[in-house]
Amino acid sequence: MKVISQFLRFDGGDIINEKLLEVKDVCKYFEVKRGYKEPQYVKAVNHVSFEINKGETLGLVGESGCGKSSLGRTLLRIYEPTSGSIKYRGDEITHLSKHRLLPYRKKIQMIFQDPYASLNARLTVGEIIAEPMVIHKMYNPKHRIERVQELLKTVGLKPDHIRRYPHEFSGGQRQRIGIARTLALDPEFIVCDEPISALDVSIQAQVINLLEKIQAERGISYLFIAHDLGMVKHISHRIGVMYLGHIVEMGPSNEIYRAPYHPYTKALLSAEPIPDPKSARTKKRILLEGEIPSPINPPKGCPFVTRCPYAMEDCQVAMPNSYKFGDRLVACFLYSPRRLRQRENFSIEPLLNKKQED
Amino acid sequence: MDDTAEKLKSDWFLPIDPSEKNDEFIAVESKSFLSEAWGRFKKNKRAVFGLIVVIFFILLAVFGPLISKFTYDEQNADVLNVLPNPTYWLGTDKFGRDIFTRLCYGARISLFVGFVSALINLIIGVVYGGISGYVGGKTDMIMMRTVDIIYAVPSMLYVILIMLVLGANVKSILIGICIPGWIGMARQVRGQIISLKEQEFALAALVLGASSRRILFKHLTINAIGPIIVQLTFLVPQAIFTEAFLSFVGVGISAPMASWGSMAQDSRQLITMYPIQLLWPTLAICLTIFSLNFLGEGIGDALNPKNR
Repeated sequence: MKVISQFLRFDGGDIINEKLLEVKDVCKYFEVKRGYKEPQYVKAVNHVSFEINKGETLGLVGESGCGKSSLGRTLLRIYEPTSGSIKYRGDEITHLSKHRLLPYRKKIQMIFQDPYASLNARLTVGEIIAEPMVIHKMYNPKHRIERVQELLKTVGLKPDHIRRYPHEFSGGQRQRIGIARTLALDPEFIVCDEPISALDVSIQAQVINLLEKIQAERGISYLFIAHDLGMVKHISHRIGVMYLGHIVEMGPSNEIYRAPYHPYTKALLSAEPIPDPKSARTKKRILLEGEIPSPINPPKGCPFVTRCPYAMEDCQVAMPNSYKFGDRLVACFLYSPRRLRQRENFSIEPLLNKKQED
Repeated sequence: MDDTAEKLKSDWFLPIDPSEKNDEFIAVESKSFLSEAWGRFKKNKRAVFGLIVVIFFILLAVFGPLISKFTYDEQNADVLNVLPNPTYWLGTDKFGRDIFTRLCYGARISLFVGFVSALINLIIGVVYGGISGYVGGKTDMIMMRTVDIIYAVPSMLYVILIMLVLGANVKSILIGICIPGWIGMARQVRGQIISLKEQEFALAALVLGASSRRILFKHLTINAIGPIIVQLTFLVPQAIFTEAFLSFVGVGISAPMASWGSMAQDSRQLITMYPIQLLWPTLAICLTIFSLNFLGEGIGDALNPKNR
């Protein structure tokens, strides 16, 4: 299966069709010990594959606990992947030793969720931003200070903030300090793990605009993890939808928002609030029944089978493959060639409306 | 209303020049973590009292013997058991030795044992607990079970056994206190490190490529400094008390050396006739231990960022 992304242009940033990161069949299982019983596994990330091109933003959405953050952390080798392969510019980095991974650390970076927890409270801002350069032995001490001041300016702070401590800054300012720290290494790929969810709405745009500006200037690729659907649509070129450790649908963001294919994506997008009471009242919401199954005991077939309004017999038995439609991938039996042949029309909307009237 | 509207003229107001815009300005004075903690510490009266008393005893230990005219083992049969007077500030004991001088020498031994053992326990405890907590898994398991074994033996037994081998002196008391003494610190540090290592700033350091040693000592330990200092300030009185107790039961400092514990033991025999002789060493022990506890509590409160 190949994910294709092409022809997408974003204001400012150009996507060059050049694979930066290739993720293939990556799994991350966490062992849970239960006394004397056999160890059980939380299947946080389950056979996930995707590619990210240079200058591209891939959004990753899904509800809490679906494995978005675990996936991001596995890519950065904070967690060791259970199986699968991660390639950076064609180089296998899945099982590199800590020492041999070091040059790749410069290129692959992360922005964290909580701006209060992600900065060491005992260090000054100058020390925090200079640290990556110290670790990688870049520049001499005097040059480092100049570069820290430069980076502070880049993220819209003042060079004389260098001697301040993190607790003196607001949440948005701290998040920008965190961004300056990652930029100190000139990374090519940044995992943004819900960088705006801990921020005030009025500050979110500030950080998002900064991320977009940096992308336009430096051609950085992002993996943008979030649960704010509107924000993901705004910043992403492509979107992956995760459910219980699986990517159930992936494709260009505009297309997914216009016409979601996978039943879970449909439900997820219908839950997005609309900032207009009139149209919000007329909007039909798909209310899913039940809870997410435990990732320790996921359903045998399709992960979504327990809550899917369209579940069929096949779904109970086997996990559907990802079926390709143009640029999009959908992991659902409704879109298998056999089913498609059975249905004359591609749309499954009538089914959906009937369910609502019941 | 109309009058005020007329009075306000439009040419009073000018759009601000973008270069003058200063929305990232921080008005508050820049303060380091420690200077802020000192500000909070100063407000705590008991803690300041504790600090003053501790400094007083340190000065006494360092300069006391210099200002006194007597030595700690100088016996004088003419002045047995005298009460405090201008020559003998705190009186003399049953051998006619000056109690003030002996108290100062006792302070030297007590404070030396207290601070040095705390320092040794600090270093061993932080390194051991830090490694155990950071590495985790089987290493943690083995290291912590080792600690449990050391802890299972009564600490007095170590002291007495070492005394038998190395003789009754300050060195063997120090070793005896330090063998089980670092365990509390190691457990405390391990717990702190385990909760800190999952925090995002530690993950950020990992992603930046920092070595384990750098993460452990530059990021994690420095953030656990509050509980470490508090534990440290409780280790000092504990060691002082242990030394006094050992000398009191007769296995500590040997005569004619003076320690607060051995002075209390000597004067115990004369308690019905000269109770004031027992007062001085016990007062010194109580005051020091109280003050150090107040001090520890005060430092703990001052370093807790939630009290900001």
